[in-house]
Amino acid sequence: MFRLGFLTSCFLFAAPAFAHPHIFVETKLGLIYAKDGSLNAIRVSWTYDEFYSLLIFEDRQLDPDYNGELTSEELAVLDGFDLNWVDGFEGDLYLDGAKLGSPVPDGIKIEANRIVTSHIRPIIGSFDNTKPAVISAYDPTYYTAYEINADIVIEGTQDCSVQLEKADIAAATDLLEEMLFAMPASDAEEYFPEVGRAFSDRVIIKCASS
Amino acid sequence: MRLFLSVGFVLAAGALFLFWSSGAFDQVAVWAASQQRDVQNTMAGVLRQLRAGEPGALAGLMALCFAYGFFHAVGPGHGKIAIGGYGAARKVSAIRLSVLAVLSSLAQAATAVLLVYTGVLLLGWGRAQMENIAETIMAPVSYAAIGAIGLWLLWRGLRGLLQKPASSEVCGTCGHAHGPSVDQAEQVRSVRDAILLIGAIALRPCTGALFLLILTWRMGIEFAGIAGTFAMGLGTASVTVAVAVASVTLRNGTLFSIGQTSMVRRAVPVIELIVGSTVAVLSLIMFLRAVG
Repeated sequence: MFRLGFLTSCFLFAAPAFAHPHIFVETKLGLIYAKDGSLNAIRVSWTYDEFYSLLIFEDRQLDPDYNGELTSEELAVLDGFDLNWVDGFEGDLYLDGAKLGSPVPDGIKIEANRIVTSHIRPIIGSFDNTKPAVISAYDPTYYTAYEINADIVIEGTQDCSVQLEKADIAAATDLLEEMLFAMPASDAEEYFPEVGRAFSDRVIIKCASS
Repeated sequence: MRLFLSVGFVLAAGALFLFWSSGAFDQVAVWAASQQRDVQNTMAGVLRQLRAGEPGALAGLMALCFAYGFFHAVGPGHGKIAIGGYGAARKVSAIRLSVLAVLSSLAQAATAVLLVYTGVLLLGWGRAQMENIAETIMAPVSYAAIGAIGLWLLWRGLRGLLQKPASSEVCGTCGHAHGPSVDQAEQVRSVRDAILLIGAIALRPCTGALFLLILTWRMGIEFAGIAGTFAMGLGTASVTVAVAVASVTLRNGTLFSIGQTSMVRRAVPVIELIVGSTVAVLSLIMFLRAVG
């Protein structure tokens, strides 16, 4: 949804037809709490797979010596490349019971040939802090597969427990197949079922309210 | 001898039923999905090696592309979908199905090559020119892509006109079919039918192949990308071929001639996947060689 250049075109024209993970993104989450203990924002770091990172380099003619590293000028060119979201794109991040605002850029770097970008999603309105925060990360069309890293950073408060529930890929695969079997082949091509959610990892964070 | 074979089939079917009921079948899809990610990561490294002119990198890329195609075809959504239809007791020649599978995969690869390079060549942007206009690269590439995708949509429309209404099994996971179904293969009565079927599958190239072609074009290793695209096609075809051979061979076995449809439906795909995993082992060996 946010990829520029060739890939944007790909998305605009062919998103429903192109499902299946083609991009793999490791997602690191950080929860930013205010002094009063309320959840303010979520910090999201995306580490793209090496193949997609190379594709992005080549799409922008970066890294001409193919050493997998970028100069600071090149990094500046790339900065924000994945934050130019089209309307309706939710950032592939969902917090149950709350709406997340537009992304605030939070840096870009290259690590072991991979692009690592970070952004912050402020929470719109107030989040009921007596309830656990349940976060999932997925692309509804399952074009991109997000895997949530177990190492979740809690910023600004101490007393939290974090629980990561990995996606049940086998169950999700069954669901996908049932849906595909149930629909006529022509529909399956044009309206691929939005199964990304079934493939999503989930994080449950409980903090003692202060 | 006949009795021996029958007992063998019963035992094999029992083992497979256990395999199925233990959930191992689903694990194949899970495993394939993570393999696809690993292959994708390794491929980037091999492409860099290739660009640097390291010996053996081309062979490594071919093996990886084959593995990519294979894992893609057995990954989530593809595995059971692609082979589900073969469980029914049909009599389709394994050779016919295999030939159709290989030809349609190769045609699909050819479409991907044609699509990307038409986009590139039609608009006349050679690589040298590309480098000169690096700063304004975004716009031309977008136009090239839009042009190419417009063309692709045109082809798809054409396909709608050509396609027969009876085709019942299209893998929707990638938005395209990876091979002919039994139904489709049964309906093929003439060369013209075969061409139509192959054409219908070929019209939807896979995203993975498009990624590879664009990437290698940009890196100036066009030939490697084109060859890799065909290797991917052969990788996906290997699944259909393995399934075709296994299903036809086993269906002729005594157990399956009894016609326990539900049992056949369950057991045959599992058997087929086991044959498929033989191919997986082969491609893994190549994969490890490519990495090492």
